[in-house]
Parts: sequence; structure tokens; C-alpha cells
Amino acid sequence: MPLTGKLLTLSRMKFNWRRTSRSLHRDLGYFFFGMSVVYALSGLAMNHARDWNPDYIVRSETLTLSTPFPEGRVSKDAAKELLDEMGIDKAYRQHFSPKDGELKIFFDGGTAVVERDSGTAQIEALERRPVFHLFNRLHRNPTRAWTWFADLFCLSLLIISVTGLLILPGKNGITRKGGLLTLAGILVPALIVIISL
Amino acid sequence: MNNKYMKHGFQKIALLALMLSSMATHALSAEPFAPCESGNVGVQEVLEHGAEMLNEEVVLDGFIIAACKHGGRKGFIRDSGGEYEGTLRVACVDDCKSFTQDLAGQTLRIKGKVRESRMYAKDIDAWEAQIQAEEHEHAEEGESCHNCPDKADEAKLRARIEEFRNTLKDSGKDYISTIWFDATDWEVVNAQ
Repeated sequence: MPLTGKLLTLSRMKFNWRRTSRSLHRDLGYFFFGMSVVYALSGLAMNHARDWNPDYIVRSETLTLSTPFPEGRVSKDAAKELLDEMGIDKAYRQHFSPKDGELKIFFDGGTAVVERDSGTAQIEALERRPVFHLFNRLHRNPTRAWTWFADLFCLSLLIISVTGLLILPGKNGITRKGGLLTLAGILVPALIVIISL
Repeated sequence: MNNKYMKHGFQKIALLALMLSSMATHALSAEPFAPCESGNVGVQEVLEHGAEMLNEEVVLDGFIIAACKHGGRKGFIRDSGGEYEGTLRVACVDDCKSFTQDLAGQTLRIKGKVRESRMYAKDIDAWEAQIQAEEHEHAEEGESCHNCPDKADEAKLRARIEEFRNTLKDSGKDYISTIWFDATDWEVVNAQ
């Protein structure tokens, strides 16, 4: 077929936007399933950051010490002895004195703050939350590679949203029930903005 | 036909996944840096002589006492040994990986640049003028409106301004210097 004939045939072909929408929606949906889970779980975790620590399980304990508070510059051995008295068998990392009469000792997985006046030690142990710690780190955009991939995901989410509106014809489509549900879903955040912000 | 289509489909997906993972691995793999330790600086050196090494790439050694809880883009570093009391703020810039809270106590080797901001008397004056501008008269005494600045916050700001004026007076210079460190990469040097 000559070139002009081919172009004529192409121009007469009707673009099937419903089929294209379905393919895009399906394939992008499959491809970004993992990303959706990462952002959904970390979004839930960070949305409640006021109520819990989304990254770490924090365990706190206060102990009364029998050893007197070490005076002067505290040596590494003295700090290690204090850890022993507290029953902490984790490896010592560092220590310093944030203010007079207070000593902060770092060990693997936590800190102990020893106070001279009260003779107590406040121990705080941190443990990474399984899954959430990693997903939250990703959500906070840790590297340039992630920035690019997350941008791609966001653009694809727009495509998934728009193509989702166009897939179904008939009573469940965008012109009827689908349209009402879409409108309701837009109104909820709009109302929250109007009422509370 | 179907099998052939699926086979080609899987091949395409596998190729795409391979390309993406290779890109990600390349971008995520931190380039190892093993600078000469004798050339490394400490917190005391940066805080006391930072003005002499501004914007030069240096390697800082120190232990991290805290990382910002919201994303870990800031950390606070001290010298080991307890002889020097100063704490240096380190900000992660560019592609630098964030700090995590459980790094606290680890000794880090941080690559980056020393930065300084200077606050002059005119900056303090402008700040005070801005607070003054937010104050306004009411039609009736004691009445307040939604534009009223919080009195407690205002008192704190005024106290800070006074503090800055005193610091400036004591500094012997015509500005207050604030030194921090912009990190482009870091590694733990005492993994235990």
C-alpha cells in the first residue's frame, strides 16, 4: 500500500480511549502495586505520629542507682561500670555530660541518662519497627534515585486516577453512579478544608 | 499465541525491572570514601576556626548525639573524649543520606563543607522592628483580635533579641557568627 493510502487508513482508525484507559490502568496498577503499599502503610504510620513513634518501638525505664555519681570528667571505664550496674549488656558507644550533674551514656540500641541529684538513671531503648522503619524512610525520600522513581509513581497515580474514571461505561460509569461517587470523594476533603483550615 | 504473548510480556517486564534495579543500585551505592585521617577535622576545630575553612571540602570526625526526628536531615555532633563541650549542627544536603535516631552515640566520618551565617546589629534591629510592627492598637482597652501576636511568644522573642544583643556586645566583633556543617556524605567508623 502506498504511503498516502496508509496515512488515510490510519486517519480513519478510531482511537479506542476506553481500551487504552483499561490497559494503562491495569499495567500501571500492577507495576506500582509495591509502591502503593509502601506509601499506604507509611502514610498510615506517619499520619498518627502524634500518637506513636512511627519508626521505633521505644521502651523507657527509670532505675535507682546505688553507685554514687562519678565526679569530674567521667572515663569510659566508669561509664561502662554504670551500664553494668543498670544491667545493660549492650555494647558501650559513647558518653558525655549535657549539663552539670547529668551524664548521658549511649549504648547499642539506646541511651541512659544518669542524674546526680535524683540518683536515678532514665533508660530509653530504641528498636526499629519492622517494615514501618524502612517504609517510612522511603516515604521521606532518602536518595535521588528514590526521588525519580517516586515522581514517576506520582505521575502514574494521576494517570491511574484519570483512566479509572474512564474504564466503565453504563450505569456504573463516570456519567452516572461513578460520577456521583467521584464528586462525593472530592467534596469530603473540600469540606474539611472549608470547616477546619 | 497467548503463551507467546505472555513470554514476550514477561521478557519486557524482566528487562524493565533489571534496568530500574540497576539504575537504583548505581544511585544508592554510596561511593566509599576513605580520607586520610590526619587531615580530618574535629568539632572544636570547626567551631573555633570554621571561618578559615569556609566552603572548603573537609572531612569531619565526631560522634552523633541526636538526629532530627522528622526525616533525619539534621544531626548534632560532638568531639569524643569529653574535653570539648561544643556541639556542631550538621545538615544533610544534596544526595547525602539521612541520619537515623538509632545512630546516636556512633562515631561518624562526615564529608562536607563548613558554612557560616552572620547576624549584624542591623539584622537584630530589623527583627525587633518586625515584632513592633505586629503590635497594633485596639478600639477598646484589653480587647484582642485574631491578628494579635501571642504575648507569651512575643516575650520570648524579645528575650532572645536581648540575648543576641548581649552576645554581640561580648563577641568583640560587629556580628554574631553561627557555624554549621553541610554534609554531602557520611559513614560510621566505629561499627560495634
